[in-house]
Amino acid sequence: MRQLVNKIRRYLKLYFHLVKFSLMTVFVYRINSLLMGFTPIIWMLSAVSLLYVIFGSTKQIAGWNFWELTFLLGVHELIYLLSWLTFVGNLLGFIRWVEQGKFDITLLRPVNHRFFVSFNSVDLSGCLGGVFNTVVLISLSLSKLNLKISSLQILIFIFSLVISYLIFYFLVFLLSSLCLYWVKAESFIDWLLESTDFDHYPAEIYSDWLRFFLFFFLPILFFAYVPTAILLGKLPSYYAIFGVIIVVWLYLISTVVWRLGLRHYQSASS
Amino acid sequence: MGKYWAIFKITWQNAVEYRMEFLAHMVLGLITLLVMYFIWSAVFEGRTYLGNYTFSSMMTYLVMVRFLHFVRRTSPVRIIADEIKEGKISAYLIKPVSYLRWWLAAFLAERIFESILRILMLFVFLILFPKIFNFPGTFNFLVILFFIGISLVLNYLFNLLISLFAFFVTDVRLFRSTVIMACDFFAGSLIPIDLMPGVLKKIGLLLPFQFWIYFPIKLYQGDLTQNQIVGGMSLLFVWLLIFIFIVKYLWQKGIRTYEAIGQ
Repeated sequence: MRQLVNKIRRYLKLYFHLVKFSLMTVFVYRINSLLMGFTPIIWMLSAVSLLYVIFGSTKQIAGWNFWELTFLLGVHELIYLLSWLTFVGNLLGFIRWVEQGKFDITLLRPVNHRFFVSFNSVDLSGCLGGVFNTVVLISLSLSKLNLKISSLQILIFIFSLVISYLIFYFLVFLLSSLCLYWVKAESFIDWLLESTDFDHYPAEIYSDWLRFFLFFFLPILFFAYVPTAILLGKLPSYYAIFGVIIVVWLYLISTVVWRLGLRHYQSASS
Repeated sequence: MGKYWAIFKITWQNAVEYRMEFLAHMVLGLITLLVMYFIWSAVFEGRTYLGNYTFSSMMTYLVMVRFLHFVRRTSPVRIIADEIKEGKISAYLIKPVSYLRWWLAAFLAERIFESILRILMLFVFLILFPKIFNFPGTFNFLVILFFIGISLVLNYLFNLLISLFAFFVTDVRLFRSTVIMACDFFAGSLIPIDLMPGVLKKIGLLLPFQFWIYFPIKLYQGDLTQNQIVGGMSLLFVWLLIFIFIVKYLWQKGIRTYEAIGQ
């Protein structure tokens, strides 16, 4: 037990230093970082404009109104923000390390390699815009929705957000680990990120087979749709339990792929 | 002229070599199209029109957005900004070539190659989904192909303009992605400009970005009156002149301040 506590403390300390280093990098390129903050805001304005046009002529789409969809967009932004902040950029960087033969150095470090490739820096570049989007979209939509939410619902919502984050992490980690076999794995991540488009909108608009596929084969609907729909009472709470099963399943697959990948890794260009 | 033709051919061969990457990029774009298909199916449920659009004309618009995606892509012009930043253009300046024409040749080769792949994609759509994708006739299609040539030059000039800022602010990558995202919206890639709310519609119809997506598609769909076509072409011509003027100015001013950092 004491060993575990020491280990956690050590990794938290290491993570603190990595965050500090990332902050210093951001402040070197201040103007760039500030401009990057605007990119998510422009994306958000485009997405809200689309909703505005759609709801200009109808009150509901598949049982969802304008503010419910805005809330869904806000939750999507939150998950995206946390994921980009902590691991997506790092795992894309990991693929580049493998391509350029720089991964060998990581293998020599006295640290858990999986932890290091996933969390070696904090990507603060789009953070400003992401935080702005999340706060504006969620607070505005909640104030318009007038929801009566119990504390249990809030707990389930937060729990399902944690599940969403974990599912997203394991999916990105799993796909990026494929670079240990095929080197060029960036397009797998591109596909996954592009597929998150499905999660901006209510699952009810998709055909049955596609919905099933997006729930249980490529569980993208767990990112924002499931937590939002549970909170709004459009989906039963047990979907959060499905999420837990998917997390465990993805953890096992990604661990196997990672371990076999390390054995397979040939340090191509170093 | 011969030397730029040689650059064109080399870039073309390079594009052929990496054809799978182009194809993967194209197929990737189909995910967005699929999402849009479901969204607009839900919107059009129980109605025939939204503005002037039927479900089929909206889907044709969205398929054409995917087709025209290559017009607004920024590679390889974005390399210019990196070359300025890293001081690599020094190597070009001592050669008997125009740096800007060099990259124009490379840009056109890559874009024309991709346009052929995308035309094939359109034919696949036409064969597989004739009910949701309208083909208004060969003449309209030839008009759009001609127009794409002008749109490509406009895109080259606009991206060049952004890249040339690297002479003054060193790193323009994030500035570019922010600007391109805004331009993309005003090009009509997410919502047709004529469906945008009041002020946005007015702004969109004044800016040059409509000529990447919205205007060519409207020409293709045969939705523009003669006056609108003449007005649009005049506006395009004005924007081309403005861009040429700014690019020339930035290049001349930039090359004087250039310090070949890193060389």
